[in-house]
Amino acid sequence: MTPDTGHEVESSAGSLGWRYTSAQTAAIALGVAVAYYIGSLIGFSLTLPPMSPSVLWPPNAILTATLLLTPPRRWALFLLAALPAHLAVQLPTLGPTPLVFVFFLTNCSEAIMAAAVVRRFAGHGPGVFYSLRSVVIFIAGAGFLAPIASSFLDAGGVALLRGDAYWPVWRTRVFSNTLTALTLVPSLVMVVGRRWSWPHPEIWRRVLEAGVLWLGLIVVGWGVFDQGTGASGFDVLLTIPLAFIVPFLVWAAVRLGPTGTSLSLMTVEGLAICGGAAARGPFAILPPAENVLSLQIVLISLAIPLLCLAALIEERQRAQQALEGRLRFEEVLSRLSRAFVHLPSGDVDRTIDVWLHRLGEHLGVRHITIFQLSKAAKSFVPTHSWTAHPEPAPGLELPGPTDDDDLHDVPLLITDSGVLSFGPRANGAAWSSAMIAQIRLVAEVFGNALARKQAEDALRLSEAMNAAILSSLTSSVAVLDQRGRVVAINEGWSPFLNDRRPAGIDGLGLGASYAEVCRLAISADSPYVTTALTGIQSVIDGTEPSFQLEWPRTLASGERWFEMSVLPLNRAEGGAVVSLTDITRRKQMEIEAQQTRQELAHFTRVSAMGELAASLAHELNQPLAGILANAQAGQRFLTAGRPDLEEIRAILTDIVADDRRAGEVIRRLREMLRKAAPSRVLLDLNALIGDVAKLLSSDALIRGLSIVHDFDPKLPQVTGDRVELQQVVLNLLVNAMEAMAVPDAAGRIVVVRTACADPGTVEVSVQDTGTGIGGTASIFEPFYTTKAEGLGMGLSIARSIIEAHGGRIWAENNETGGATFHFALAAAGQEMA
Amino acid sequence: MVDDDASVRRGLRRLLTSAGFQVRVFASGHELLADRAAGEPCCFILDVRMPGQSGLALHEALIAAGYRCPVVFITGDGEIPPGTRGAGAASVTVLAKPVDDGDLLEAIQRMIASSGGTVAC
Repeated sequence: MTPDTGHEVESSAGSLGWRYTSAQTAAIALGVAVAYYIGSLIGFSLTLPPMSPSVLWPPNAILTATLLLTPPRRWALFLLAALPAHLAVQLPTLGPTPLVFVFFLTNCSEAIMAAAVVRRFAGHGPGVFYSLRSVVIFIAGAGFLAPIASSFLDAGGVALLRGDAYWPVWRTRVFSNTLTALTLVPSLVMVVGRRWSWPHPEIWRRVLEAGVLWLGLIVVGWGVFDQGTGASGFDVLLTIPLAFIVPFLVWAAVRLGPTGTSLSLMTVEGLAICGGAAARGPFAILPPAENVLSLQIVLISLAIPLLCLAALIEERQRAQQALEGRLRFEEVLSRLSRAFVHLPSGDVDRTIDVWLHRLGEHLGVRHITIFQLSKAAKSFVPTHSWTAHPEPAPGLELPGPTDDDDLHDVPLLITDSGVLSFGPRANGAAWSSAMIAQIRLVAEVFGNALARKQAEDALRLSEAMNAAILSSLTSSVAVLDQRGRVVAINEGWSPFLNDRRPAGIDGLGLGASYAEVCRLAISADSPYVTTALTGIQSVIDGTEPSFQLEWPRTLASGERWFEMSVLPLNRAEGGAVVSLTDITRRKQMEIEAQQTRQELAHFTRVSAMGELAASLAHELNQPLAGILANAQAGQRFLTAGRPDLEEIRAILTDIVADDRRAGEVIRRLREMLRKAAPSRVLLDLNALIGDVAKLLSSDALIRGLSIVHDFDPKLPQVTGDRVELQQVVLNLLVNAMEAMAVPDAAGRIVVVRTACADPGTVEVSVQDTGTGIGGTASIFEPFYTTKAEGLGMGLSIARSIIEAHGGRIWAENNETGGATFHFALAAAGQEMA
Repeated sequence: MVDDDASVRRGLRRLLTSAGFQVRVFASGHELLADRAAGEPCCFILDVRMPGQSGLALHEALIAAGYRCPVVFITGDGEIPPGTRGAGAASVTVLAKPVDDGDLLEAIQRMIASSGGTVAC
């Protein structure tokens, strides 16, 4: 019978389980009845000649054993099942007297009392005989109390109904029932109630030993009990060989456990009865009643200590086994824990599989599985599993009664990240709470290892991601910690590493300081190094939110420009991220754009001068006319004789002055035509505007306009390029004059004002009374023109010049008609407000 | 003579003085019209491009005022002013700056002679 068959009637403690079908109940009842019947017949035969009370009365033992093996609610059923057998046996011998029922009642009452006492104080099933305490309770309750109590009733009944003497009957019943209880009940309970499985090879040795012992016992017993009684009168000596049996019985108690002990006792019992029945052996020397009594007393006095001894030894052995089992389990646990310490995450899965295997074999379970929560599947999926192939050995058995007989459940132990699930134990052994506590530790170890593996994997993944990100950047990136040491670097630094071979620096590695970073990036002797070092330090210190620096560097591939950008590292401990970008291309483009702008400005200036050619010619003509007239007048004076030298002197002075005046016009023209890189000098805007106005004076005249100055005499100086700012003023004035080309009676005047708007800013405004402007925003865009000719670049160039000076330029329509253009620059040494 | 430019005034005055003329110079037409002291001159020499009243407008004002003497226009930008007419008794010559003394004096003499001495000078 294996535990997994439909029987299911046996739990770890070996008692008949609570759950069995009515068919099984009926079978048991039938079995009880049959056993009762047979037992009664046997009991009748167990008498010593010529006539004596029965040595043993098996039916009582059968009832008691049944009640010890079944649940109390079925007792009534099984007891009633025995009634027909009882009647069948007793009626023929005793006749239809109430005595039959009295006997039945007393038998039942003895069984009930014994079973109740034992159940209440010591448990039930074979386990009763495995500990000293419960054996003692059994001996006291089932061995003495119940027989004695029921014998009162028995004897009373017999005395009443048959008229026998009370106390002798009582005495007979007591001894017979006690002996039966002490020898038959243990055997029955342990043999019937024990779970049988096919003996392990190791058990064969035990069986062999048991066989040897049994054989020896029979041989010796035969020898002891088969001695002839003669008339020698030294019959008392026949009792001495009894002592030879004792070692065998002790051997049985020590080596074969309670089961073997009670079976051996029964064997001795049987041999003694046989001997006595044949009128041989030590129990044939007395009169029959005394023979029986002495036999019973001897056997009882042998049974009690032997049962106790067997129980004691069994208890100790089981305790020993339990301890060993626990120690072994703990050793397994500690090795398991050690196996997971410092385990690299790659080995975790393999190690878990190995240990599931070992643990499964150790515990004798059918399978162990680890289920983990899968976020993708949103459920538990099995991740590690071990199954026993084939059917495992009984493995570790745990002793003693457990708290819950029905613990067939598979413990599911929750760990942090999953569930450790054990299959049922192969031998049906239950899980004690101590064991569950230890298995929880196992689950903790697995859980921690898995959690650590997950964390390590996640960390490795994120590190790999970071490294991939870093290496895919085209800039050179170095991450510094709060002390300025390099903690991460990408491959973009290789151009620098290959180019320089400075003594003592092999390359840029982790832990290098940012000073080395700078020295590698910038040539060590460049003046930019100090700036870079202070800049980086200021970002690390937090005094600056960021730092940028551009510098040129001559590498093997030519002159290149680099930009260093330093930003603080966004973490609590601080640090900075330094990134270098090759901006050569951008710089080149910037330089080219700058050159293009300057050429365009020059071109515009030139074309503006071209447009002013007529008026410039007119401007030159005035002093030339004066010079010619003066010179010719002088000639005339001289030819007329009597020259007035004072007059001549005045003439020459005027000629020189006129010439200089003409030279000024040429100078102004030349200045506007200049094409040079912009410079920054201190300028007086009033004088600058005056010069431009003079350049345009003839043009204004030709157009019939006038340019009026409204200057702030205390205007601060500005820093800028003279030619570029003159170009701006020229452009604004020309635009103003052209806007007033429409003939208008109301004053055709351009007013140029300079003012100091606030202490740091200088503002220039050109006001006209012309047509006004349409879109104030788009007029500064390139190619915007309302004129039939011209590129429309003038204002956009003016804007780029003013903005390159750090100023602002804007325009607005006047309420009184016309428009006013303004530009503002910072006073020299100031920042624009 | 009317011209807004000082050096032109000085030069031409010397030139005309050296040629024996009496010259009265004015910086603008407004000054000339305001000065009624002198009688009619032999000739007007007028600059064309002047701020305010241009030479041509001044000429018309003089004609309206009854002056009949000849006019020499001198111009700095080389353009022959449109609308010059030789209506009435006045005749007109246009010269470009810088004005050569020979051209100027010749023009003056010619115009005075052709005006038939109606103008006392």
